[in-house]
Amino acid sequence: MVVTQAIRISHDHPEGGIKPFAYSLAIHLMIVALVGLSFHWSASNQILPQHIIKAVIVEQGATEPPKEEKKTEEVKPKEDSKQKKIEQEKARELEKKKQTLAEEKKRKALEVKKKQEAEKRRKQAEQSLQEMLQQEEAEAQQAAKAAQAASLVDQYKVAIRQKVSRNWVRPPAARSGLQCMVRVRLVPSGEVLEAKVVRSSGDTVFDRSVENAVYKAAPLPIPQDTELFDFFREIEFLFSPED
Amino acid sequence: MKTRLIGTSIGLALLLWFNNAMAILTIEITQGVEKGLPIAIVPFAWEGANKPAHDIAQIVEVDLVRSGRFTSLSPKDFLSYPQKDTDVDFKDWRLIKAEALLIGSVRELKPGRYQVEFRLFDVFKKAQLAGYRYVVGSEMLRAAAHQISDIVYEKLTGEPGAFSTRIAYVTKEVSNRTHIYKLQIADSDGYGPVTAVKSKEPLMSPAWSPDGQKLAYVSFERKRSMVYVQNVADGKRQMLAEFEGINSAPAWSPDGRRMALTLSKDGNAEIYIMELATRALRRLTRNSAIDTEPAWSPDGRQLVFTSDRVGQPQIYRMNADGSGVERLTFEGSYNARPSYSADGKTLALVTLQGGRYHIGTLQLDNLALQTLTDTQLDESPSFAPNGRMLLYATEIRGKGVLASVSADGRTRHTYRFEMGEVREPAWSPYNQQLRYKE
Amino acid sequence: MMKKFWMLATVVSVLLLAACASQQPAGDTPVDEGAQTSGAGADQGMDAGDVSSERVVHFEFDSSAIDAEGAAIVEANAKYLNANTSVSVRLEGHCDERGTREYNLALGERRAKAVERMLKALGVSGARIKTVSYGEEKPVDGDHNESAWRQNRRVEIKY
Repeated sequence: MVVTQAIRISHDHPEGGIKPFAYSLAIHLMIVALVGLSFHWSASNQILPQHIIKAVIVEQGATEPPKEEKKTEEVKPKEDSKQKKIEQEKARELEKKKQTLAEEKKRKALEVKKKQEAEKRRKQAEQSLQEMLQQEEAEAQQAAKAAQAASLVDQYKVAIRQKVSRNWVRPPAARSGLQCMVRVRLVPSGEVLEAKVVRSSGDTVFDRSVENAVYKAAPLPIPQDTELFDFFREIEFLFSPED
Repeated sequence: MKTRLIGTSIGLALLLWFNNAMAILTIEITQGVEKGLPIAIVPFAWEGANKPAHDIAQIVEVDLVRSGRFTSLSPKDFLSYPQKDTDVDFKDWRLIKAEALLIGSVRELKPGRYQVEFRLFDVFKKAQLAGYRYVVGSEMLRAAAHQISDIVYEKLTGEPGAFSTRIAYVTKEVSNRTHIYKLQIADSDGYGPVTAVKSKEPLMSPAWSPDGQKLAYVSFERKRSMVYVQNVADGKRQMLAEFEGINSAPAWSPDGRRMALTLSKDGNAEIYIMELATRALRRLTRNSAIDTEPAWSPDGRQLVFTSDRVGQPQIYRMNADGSGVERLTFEGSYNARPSYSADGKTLALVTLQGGRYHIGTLQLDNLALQTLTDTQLDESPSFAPNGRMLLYATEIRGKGVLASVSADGRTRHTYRFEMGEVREPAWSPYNQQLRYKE
Repeated sequence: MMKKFWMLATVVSVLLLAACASQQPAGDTPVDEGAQTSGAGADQGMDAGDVSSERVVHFEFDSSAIDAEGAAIVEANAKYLNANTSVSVRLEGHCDERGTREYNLALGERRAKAVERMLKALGVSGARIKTVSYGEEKPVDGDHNESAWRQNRRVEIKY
């Protein structure tokens, strides 16, 4: 070592004391607050895609891949069964009417009332059917949209991968076999809110290069569409160098 | 068929999503760029009357860039020039994509006495990685700068820097038709040479002892080659080998107790080991060919050497008792002067490729030979103690000069010397005491 | 292979020539005063006289084989040495700058020893011969080209 004497200096002012502690406390509190806030944020966001997904699963069966041709096929049989149900209902109503006409004319007032009620129910049934149909239509559309989103997401993934790769100054220590996983939170502009190593390579220089790559690649190419952006609000990068 | 496949895969992808609604999108990165880490070095602030001759920030910058591990961003592109940590706005450095930021100051305490301070920051983490303050005399300013380089290098690469080490080399000057040979010792950047030996006859093969306190070398001062050992600190020396024939190629064992030598006292250049305490000799090679240029493995168990036993110089390895000789190089007609990297995994060597002599490395696990230089007449490769750089001699415009190359061959740098021919560099080990003469 | 044969042929013919030479009366050669008294490094201590003024043997790259031209020079010097038995000789082996310095130091010695062997074969006592190698350290031509390299690959015969 060199003969010179070195005095280590910290980031805080060398005077030390209560001031830096207070700063540190304040910063930590802020960080805690931020982390809390963001947690909330990401949690609520995750519900959104989940909602759409649930609907599709229930209606189309969990094991069926949502092929577009099949969707329309599946919708039809359901329509038939519902119409049959309604026809049966109608027939029963007609029989009832015949009976009452033959048996009693006195209860006309009641009859009218019943008729009105039946009419009302029929209208209600028709209306609910209409609603169901509309809902299914909407769900089919959503599934199609999701499929489209999948390929779009893939496209954005490629663009992001390229930009991060370009910005990753790979240290010599980063040889194949080493892996580092970093979790990144983004804002809709593509800026990086936070990049955090969630699985270390064991090499601090490698880990730091990975975090820096993500920060330097910002803003990341992410979709403008708010629904699509939800996929990118929080993403993970697995840095797995190949020789 | 294809569209169906795509359809299916999209479907599968969707399914995966829907089933793992909570899973986060993962993007795998397998490729990066192989270049230096971008660092911003802000010119150090100066406070005082008599500005010192040495620009610390500039010395650090040259050190770091020469290593091949850093790219120094141009101060012209800086958005601010902070001098204190409180002046640093990390946004300014993120914008110009610096990963690291170095700031510092030099303050004159009294004439010839300075306080040097620096801070190294991780720009994206917004954190200080290192910060030190030194009080030094003007003669130690460069030493302080190299120490800063070492700290920055280690903090950012995870490996120790080798900037505070020294180099030995031989120069040849011609004046009034007489040749003057000098064995010089200088800083790792070639600055501040001190003459250890001066002779009218050739000097050769400087070799540092493992503790960095001594140099062995070959001198022709008695009209033929003999091996001497000299203290770096006081210049005292002793004759080590003056046998009949050639006495050459000294190489210290890693424990510093033995010296491998090439002697021809028995009629032909052979490799011997001398116990330094008793001067007892043991002959390792018995071959009518030339056997020379021995170098010890870091564990002291083996030696590599050059031999032309197949009719041309190639590199061989043997145990330290001379047994188990095996050939290591098979590519090309001339491979010579091997030396080990500190980790023992790589050899540096001189290799003839396409009619030119280049510096190369040989990976010992698979014997893969890589050429690092593309100049000609490159010779005498010497690993930096951290194994990340090599120093060697080459020829530019008819003149011998020193150059360095990063171990991956990406970065090369030529040293500037005022006078004469420069040759045979030898990089000191880590624990070489820095010594400054004013 | 051809080269080796040629070498052998040369050596044999030189030996024959030397045998003839040694039969000639020694008195023809005047003893040079300077040569007798010359110590180390007195290269100019000898006049050409009857001795060959050619005192440099050249070599091919990475080779210590003496070619016909070189053999003639060695033979002429052997003749002189055999005529002047009190004269001792110093053979300095040199190399061109190509290749590594330590290897070249050994190669220079090998060249000097090749000349020594030939002198011995021609009847010169080994006790009168000293060999030394300077490797690539003392070029006569400091240029970095073929012609300089040819000049620098040599053994200097010094009296």
